[in-house]
Amino acid sequence: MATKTDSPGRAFRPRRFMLHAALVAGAFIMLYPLLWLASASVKPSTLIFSDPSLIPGEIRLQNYVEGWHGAANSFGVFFANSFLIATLAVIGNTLACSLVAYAFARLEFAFKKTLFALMLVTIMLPLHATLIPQYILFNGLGWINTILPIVVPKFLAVDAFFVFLMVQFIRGIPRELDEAAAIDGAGPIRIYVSIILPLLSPALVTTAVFSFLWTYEDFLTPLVYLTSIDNYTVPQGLRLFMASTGVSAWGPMLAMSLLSLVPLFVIFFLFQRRLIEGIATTGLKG
Amino acid sequence: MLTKPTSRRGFLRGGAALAGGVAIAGMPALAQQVARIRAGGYVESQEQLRQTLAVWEAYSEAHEDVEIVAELTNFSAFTDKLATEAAGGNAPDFFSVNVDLMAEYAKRGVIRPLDEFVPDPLNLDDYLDGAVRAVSRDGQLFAIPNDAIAPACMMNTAMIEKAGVEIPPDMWTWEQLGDMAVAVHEALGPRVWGIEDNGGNYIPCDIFLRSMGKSMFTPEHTFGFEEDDLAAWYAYWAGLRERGGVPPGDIQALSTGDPSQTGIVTGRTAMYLTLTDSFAGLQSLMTDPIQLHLMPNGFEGDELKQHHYAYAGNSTALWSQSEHHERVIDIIRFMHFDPQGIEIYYRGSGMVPASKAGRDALAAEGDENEKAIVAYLDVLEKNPAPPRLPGVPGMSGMLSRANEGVAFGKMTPNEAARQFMQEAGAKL
Amino acid sequence: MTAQDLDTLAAPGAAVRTPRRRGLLRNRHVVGYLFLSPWIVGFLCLTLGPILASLYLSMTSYDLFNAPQWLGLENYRKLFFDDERYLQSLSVTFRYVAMSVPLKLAFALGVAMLLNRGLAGLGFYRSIYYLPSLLGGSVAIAIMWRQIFSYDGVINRILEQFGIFGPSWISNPDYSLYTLVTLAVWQFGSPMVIFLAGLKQIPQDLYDAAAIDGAGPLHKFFFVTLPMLTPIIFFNFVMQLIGAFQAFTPSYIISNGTGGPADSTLFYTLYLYEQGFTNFRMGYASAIAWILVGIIASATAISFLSAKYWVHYGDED
Repeated sequence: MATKTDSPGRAFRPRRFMLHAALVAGAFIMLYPLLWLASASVKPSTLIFSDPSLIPGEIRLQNYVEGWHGAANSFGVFFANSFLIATLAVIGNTLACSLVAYAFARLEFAFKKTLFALMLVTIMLPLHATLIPQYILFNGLGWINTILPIVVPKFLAVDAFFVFLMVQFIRGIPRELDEAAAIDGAGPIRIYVSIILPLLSPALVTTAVFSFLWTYEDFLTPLVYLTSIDNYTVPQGLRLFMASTGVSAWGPMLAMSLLSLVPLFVIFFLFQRRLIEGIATTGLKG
Repeated sequence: MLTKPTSRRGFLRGGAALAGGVAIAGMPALAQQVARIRAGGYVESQEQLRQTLAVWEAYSEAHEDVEIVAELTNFSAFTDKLATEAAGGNAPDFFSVNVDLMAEYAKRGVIRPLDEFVPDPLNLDDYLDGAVRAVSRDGQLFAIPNDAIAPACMMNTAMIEKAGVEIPPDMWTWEQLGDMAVAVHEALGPRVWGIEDNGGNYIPCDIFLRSMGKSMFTPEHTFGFEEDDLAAWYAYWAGLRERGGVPPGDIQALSTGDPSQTGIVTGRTAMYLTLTDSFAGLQSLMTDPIQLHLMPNGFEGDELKQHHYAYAGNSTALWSQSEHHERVIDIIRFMHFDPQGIEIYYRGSGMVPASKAGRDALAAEGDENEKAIVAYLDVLEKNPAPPRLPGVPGMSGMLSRANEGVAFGKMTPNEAARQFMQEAGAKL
Repeated sequence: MTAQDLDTLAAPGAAVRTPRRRGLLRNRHVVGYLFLSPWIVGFLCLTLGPILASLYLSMTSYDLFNAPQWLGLENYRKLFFDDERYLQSLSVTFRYVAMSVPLKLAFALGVAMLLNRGLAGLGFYRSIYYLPSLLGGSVAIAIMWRQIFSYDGVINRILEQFGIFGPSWISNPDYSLYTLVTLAVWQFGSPMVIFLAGLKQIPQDLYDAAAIDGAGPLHKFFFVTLPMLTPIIFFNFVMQLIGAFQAFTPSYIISNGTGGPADSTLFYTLYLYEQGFTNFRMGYASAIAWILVGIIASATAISFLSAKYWVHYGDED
């Protein structure tokens, strides 16, 4: 595994070379859709579907200009809306889910198992089945066309995925650490803040990045709750380019799709470094 | 019910409460006593989106006491959004529907009859008869047609010429279409076929049945055909599949319904049976020119009789629980009947108006595609057929599943017809 | 700590009720519920109502716009005895789950092991390998899948070199589901990331100790990495299971959401959606949803019961 001797080598190593070759080949397959997207986004619409080649005959940046300005709103508005809800989702999920996960993983209280099972059941029901009752609820609260139906649940640890994820990670932390702190007089809150949270950082970072990506990419929830064009997020903005039988603005749509991936890719790239680097330094004491 | 007017201010209030004052986008100054009219619906092009927003903007500017909140999106997203909002008792004050949505929502009391507003202020006298009838149900008018559409056969003329096949006359038969498709395949073979397999396509099926003196539905909401009639339709495509006129089942299934994946765009087939509103969209994805042509018709006595009907595409309907009926009717009047509104709403929007005056204007000033559609609709108007009748939800799904059953050798045409009648019959 | 103190949370079936530590935490119930309070509030105020509503609707006929009519268990009876397409959607979904979940997890774990090193440039690969998951069910993926698996796609061009003329895999009902399983496996990014986070949590000393004992890489993998990773494997397994049972978007890649060709990709939730939102039969759709809850809950419960025997938690010994 990752050992300190794994630093970049000086001499040619066949195994290392084979590994890199395999990774490069894999990476090309992974990259292909992105390359297609990039190529299609600079093609005229007449060639996007009729000419499958990856290399565009001419490069037209017009799709980006048209896409950005849009027929309804500047795409900047959609980006800003998406960033706001995704950022709030990150804050909400990491805070609330780690609190709740700590309770489930470390504290003892009545009906713990029942509540945990109930929590898992909430994510077993398909979204489409609760969409309308949920809508009636939020409409009753007067929250339609606000970010509240999207953001508030995140602060209330409604996504069992992240709670369960953190429970599993917390349970990987040896209990001796809490017990030692408890003997020193630390209460549950101090144990949570000073022992659990720091050691939970891989799971926190994972929760943060998935919260961001999945909120940013979500379509159905913003569709019914952020109803007016001014409040649309990026995926809804992209839909404005699409027609079912009429004239879809494929070029601008693909250009903005590619553009919308850029921040996600950057965030993911920064995050994975955070996740991997410093294995030796923050590794747990067993 | 749980209706409660919500507003952009609400969005900001929520946003501010949570984000500590971070506001999304700018907020228009709201005067006191401004009626907020929510406008939902779908658009079929960037041009239509731009002009629709512009006409609402113009109306709001002329009426200081009205703010029109645009909630437009594309068709598939819109149907889910509207169903959820209407079920939650919070639909937009007015929204667009197509003929099938109109029928479903009218049946369930979600949209409101408009007859009391006709002819004043909504005068539909010079509207295409087929379009007006298509948005009516059981004698009541439920929407105002925004544009007119009609069934048509799209032909890739360059490909057909290359195959050395002649473009048929306006009036022709289903046998001629079959022979032509086979001829294209034989000339351009083995990976090019004459026509897309339209066995799962609702409107061409209706035209085919009418060519036989039947129809898909009757005004009494029953089937207008027998099992053998529909079996003949499935057998027709099965025959073409055998002769190479249409692609085999698994290649046909690559065409999933989105225009970008159709055989005519990807160069697999030379013809496609669809509606006029797809014309510009298909052409925009192709370098070869396509032409609008009548689908085949059927004999009545010794003469071929015209069975195509023009009808309404995107249409505007009124939510039955809206508190702003009068206001919304005035907005509709402005969009469809006020010279200033018409000018903004239609010009350069890509829509072909259902009104005669609107189409005449387009014939004079429109682009090539628009002129072609107007000319095509004129042919139908001179020789009209009985109007299209609303069907049941999920028509194309049921028709094409049965057609695929035949294509993949799992059903005979009669079994397919029976399956369709059973599934669709349950919804009548 | 003693064995009696084991927290048996992850195995609800295990009834290890033990005398509790007294005096260590006063009012442990209060403290527990305090930490739990966000979720309790969310559950009671936001989640529970809609869930109960859908359970009630599953026993009614409800067309979205008019008051629901009570039917009792009629919807459920109809589903099992009178709806062939429903049974087809069950069959499609079970096959999809059975194939995609194990393959995807194996792939994700393998690649995570490969990428969990300090090698130069691996960060780039980690990001690239996440890309397919980032793209989700977008048009770029749909187009690529067609270019690979259609009648004139890459696979068939390769086969042609050997004189084999393949079918149009992606649009042939005999093979279409397999192309979606392949897609699911290819989009292994999320479990891979979670595996990477899990690998990071394994204490380095364990490897050092194993190295001193003369353990090779294979030995380390089977006796250190794998046991230490079991809570994360378990998590990924349960979540992928739930996710695969609810698969919805993949069918848009092949059939634009119709479940075709010939219902070969008619996923369970797609059929639910079609009934609820296309046919306006929301009562029926809710019954479909609740049977799925039953199926997933059973599968999850079995997983939790089995976890006793193979999942090792750091807080246990």
